[in-house]
Amino acid sequence: MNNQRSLFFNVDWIVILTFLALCIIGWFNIHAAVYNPEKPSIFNLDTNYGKQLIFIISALILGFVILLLDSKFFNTFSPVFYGITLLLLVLVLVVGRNVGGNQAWIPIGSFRLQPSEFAKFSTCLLLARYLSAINTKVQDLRTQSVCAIILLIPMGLIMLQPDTGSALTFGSLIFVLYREGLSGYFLVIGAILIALFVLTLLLSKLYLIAALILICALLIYNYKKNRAFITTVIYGFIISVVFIFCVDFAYNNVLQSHQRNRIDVLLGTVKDLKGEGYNVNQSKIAIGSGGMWGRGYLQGTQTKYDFVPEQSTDFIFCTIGEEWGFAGSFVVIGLYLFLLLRIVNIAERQRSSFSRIYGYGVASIIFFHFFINIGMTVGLVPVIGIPLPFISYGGSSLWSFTILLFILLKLDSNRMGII
Amino acid sequence: MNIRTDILLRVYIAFGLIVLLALAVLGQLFYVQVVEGDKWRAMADSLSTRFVNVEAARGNIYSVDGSLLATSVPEYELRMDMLAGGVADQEIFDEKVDSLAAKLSAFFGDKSSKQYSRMLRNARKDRERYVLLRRKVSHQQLKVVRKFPIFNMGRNRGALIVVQQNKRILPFKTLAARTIGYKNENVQPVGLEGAYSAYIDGESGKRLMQRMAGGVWKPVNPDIEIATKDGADIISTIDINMQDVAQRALEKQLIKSKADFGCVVLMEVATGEIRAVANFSKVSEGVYKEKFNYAIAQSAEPGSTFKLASYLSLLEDGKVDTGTMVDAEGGTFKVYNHRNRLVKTVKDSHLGLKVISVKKAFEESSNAAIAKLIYKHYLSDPEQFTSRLHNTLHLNTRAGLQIPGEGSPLVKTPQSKSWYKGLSLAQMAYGYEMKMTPLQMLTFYNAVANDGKMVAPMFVREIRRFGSTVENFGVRVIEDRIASEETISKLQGMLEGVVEEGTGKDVIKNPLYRIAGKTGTAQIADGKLGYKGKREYQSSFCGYFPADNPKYSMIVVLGNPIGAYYAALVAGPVFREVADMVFANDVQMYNPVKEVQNANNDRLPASKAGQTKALRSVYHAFGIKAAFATANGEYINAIDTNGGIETREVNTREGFVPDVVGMGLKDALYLVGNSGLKPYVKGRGKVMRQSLAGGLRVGRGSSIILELE
Repeated sequence: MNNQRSLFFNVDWIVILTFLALCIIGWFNIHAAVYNPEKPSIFNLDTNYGKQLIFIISALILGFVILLLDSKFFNTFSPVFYGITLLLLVLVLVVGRNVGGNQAWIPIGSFRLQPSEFAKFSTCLLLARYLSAINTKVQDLRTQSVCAIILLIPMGLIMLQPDTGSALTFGSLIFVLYREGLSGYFLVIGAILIALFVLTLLLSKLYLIAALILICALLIYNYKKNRAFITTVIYGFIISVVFIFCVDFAYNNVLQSHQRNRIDVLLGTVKDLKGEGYNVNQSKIAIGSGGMWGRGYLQGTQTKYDFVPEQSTDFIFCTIGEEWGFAGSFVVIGLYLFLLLRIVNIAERQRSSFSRIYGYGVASIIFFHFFINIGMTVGLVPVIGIPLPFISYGGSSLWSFTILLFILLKLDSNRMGII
Repeated sequence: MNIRTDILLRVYIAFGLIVLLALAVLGQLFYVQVVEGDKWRAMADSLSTRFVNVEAARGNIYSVDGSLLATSVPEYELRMDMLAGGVADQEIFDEKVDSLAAKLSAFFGDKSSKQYSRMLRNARKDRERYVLLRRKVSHQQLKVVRKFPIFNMGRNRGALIVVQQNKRILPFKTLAARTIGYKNENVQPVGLEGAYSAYIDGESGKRLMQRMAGGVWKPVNPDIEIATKDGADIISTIDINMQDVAQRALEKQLIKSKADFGCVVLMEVATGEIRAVANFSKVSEGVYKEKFNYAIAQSAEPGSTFKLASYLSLLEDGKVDTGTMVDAEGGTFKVYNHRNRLVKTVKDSHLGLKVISVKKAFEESSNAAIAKLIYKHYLSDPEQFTSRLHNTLHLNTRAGLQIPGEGSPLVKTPQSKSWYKGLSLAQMAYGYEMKMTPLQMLTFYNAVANDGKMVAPMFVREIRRFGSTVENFGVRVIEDRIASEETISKLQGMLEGVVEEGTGKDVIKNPLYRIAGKTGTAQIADGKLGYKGKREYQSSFCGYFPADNPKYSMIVVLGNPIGAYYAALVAGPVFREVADMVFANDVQMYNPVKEVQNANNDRLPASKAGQTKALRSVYHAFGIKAAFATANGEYINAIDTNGGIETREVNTREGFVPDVVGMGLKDALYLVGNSGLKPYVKGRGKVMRQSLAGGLRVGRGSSIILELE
């Protein structure tokens, strides 16, 4: 009894309240997005909003169970979780149901399980376990390699579905490594590579290489005394040129045409309001028509009349934008920002490195989803089909994020117990 | 940098990155929602409700005699709102749904009562608001459906949603279908419908539609927001009876001659109004359909019908007179070029003509003679010949029709690139090296019939809206006088001669009235092969009637007939048949009915009424002066009067009851049968009484009782 009370006393209630707020916002907006005037009750279980309520209740039960478990359980069994999810990821390729070109769902009765969602927390747990082991050092190439393997296996399996969006999620865990001491150069190099990638698609290769030569020449001229720097610049230049050609090749030969189109539309090199640009344009119409204060609950026309695709899942933010306006969107984004900073804060206050690393993993994954999802609906990033945490319709996604978050809360509630 | 500050820095970077990117999202959101908000909102509003055009009821097209050629009838789409006031209560719905289903099933017969019931119940369960019941429902059907259970609960409670559409129908089906035409979206408009769509269409209205969940557009209000304005009516110049005759005669002859296509155009001489225009193309052996308006669109070499223009030129320029003798040289004329090399031998179709008069040469359609005459008289100044064709006869200009698709004529001049000195002149003389449409040729012949006044062909007489005239199209004169009175009268004589004594005499000549016209048999050039390839002919006959007081002109063209291709045999019968029927039906064409005055007050012996010719020969045989000679009707009725016998003409028009009192049974039955009546006969002797009075307009197949005594 005493134990119980201390458990709830130690849990970070602020995070739980934020979590609940987001879930309820999600539920109401799913109601608005797929509103069926013939089945107006938000509790009607035939509809997606009715089902989402069940998902939310079951997620809460799941969270409660996690809080009851022993905190060592997650560290100990993380390889098992990881193994199970990998098995499921293989299984889905065999028995999965193909929906919209992605073989991502395992049908269980009327419910469809999406293993890639659960791979997120299990990968996160294993990474935390590995990095928190005594003999690992992020700066070592060996450690880096093992981390890369941990990330790349689920990524690769998910790519086979193929679900690029979910696979990219795992890339966000690189920030965890950075926090644990991975050289900042990786981030800088990463940033430069992304910049080069975009520029390659925007500019002609010749201009780009000419510009690079100019920059390198200036750098070498400025630092002509520093031989090591000059060598670095020259290597950097060679790598950049090779990268440019690789990007060019990959863009034209590896990417699928719809992915290419999405990038083109985002970069503005192609105006295509009927094809790939259609989704983003409809999404912007919906969000933009919300204006400052929104059209009001259930008053949105764009989402209700099926103009926006995937309006209860990937494009749920359109409903928020349309019906609640900038004011409502500001609140939602504020909630996410608050949650994320709180999670980073929680991570930082952990005594065990396992908990800390896991915390950063949680923050990275939620942040990636939040940024990419909302960014895509407002035309800031290319269309990548990943859900908005806690808000998008779907059991797998809600449960996986709940598990992800509540494991952290469990670890946090127990932080004082670790010496 | 020590580890502590390094870690702190990394934490700050982590915080900073999250905040920065979140702000970027927020910034973009602000831009889209607040800065660009109005733009997106306007786009959104245009997407969820919209005004859709509602087509106005199109105007009708009438024939000149007032029959409907094309009209629009409303058609309805029936839908049902399962949540309408009347059925909001589940009990009422359950109570009435089965009887509604039974009624629908019994009335439309497309689904069983059970199927209807299941469909309605399911729709109700799904709470659908725009369920499709049936398309293409007529107004009469709609009136019945409105009385069905649930639907009879009144406009706003009855759940029935009616969407009106207009459907175009041609009451006479294929009659003049091509000339009436059609107008469909994305299709080149055809005929009157296309040409006068600006009048016929009316002004479409607008209806506010809203997008329903699931992407269906549904009217917002029960009534249309911006009312439609009905289209104007077109009174065409087509006469439905003449059109019918023309089409039937042409089709019959096409089947007989196995030709590829054919057309007939009948025009009123004085006004240029087109009374009938029939076009047929061969679909398969013995099957012809109206697919292309050859009469107005097909520009081709006319052949001998063109000789009229050549002779007009010769006469008008004083080069020859009708009596001038010309040596047809046995029916051949050799054309030499400037190096004195033989380039062409013009041949007649029937060789053997020697020295003949110009009139005879025309009547016998000698190619050699006309080629020789034109060649001889105009070689030094071909311009004189061609400029008349161009400027006075307007043969190189389109007639400017009221419907689209007129073909362009081509009459060469010495300036033309393909002008071949000498040869071109000789060939043009008899209608080669040029192109004209049948209607353009007819316009020229019509001018000759109209004593030299050339009028444009007309398809539309008047445009009316709600019974009052919007626009009236009067006669459009192209040329007041295409040649001197003297020339025209000579030409008319020559044209009559063709039928009386020339190429047309065997087939076209009618003893009852006179026809004037000209045959034309043109060999059609076959693309690259020229005239050397497969021989294809176009047979035509162009003329007018009655010759002494021309009322109608007509052209008949048949393309590529198999077997006999001489115009008189192919096109002639069509001309004759149409002309006969038109003549027989047109009272105005008969000479005015005059009371017969008995010369010297002699009493004519009593006679049964009957065939004029027979009666006349009887009187003639008895040496009695036939005082009724002016009565030209085929049948006359003799009435026993005090002073003798008064004769009057019997109306034999189809659809009218003929007055057969006084006739013998043979004549009476013949006339009654011809009028489409069903006779019942009582007694024997002369007809004393008929149950339907003479002159009454009746439908085909009506019964008439004839009492004989």
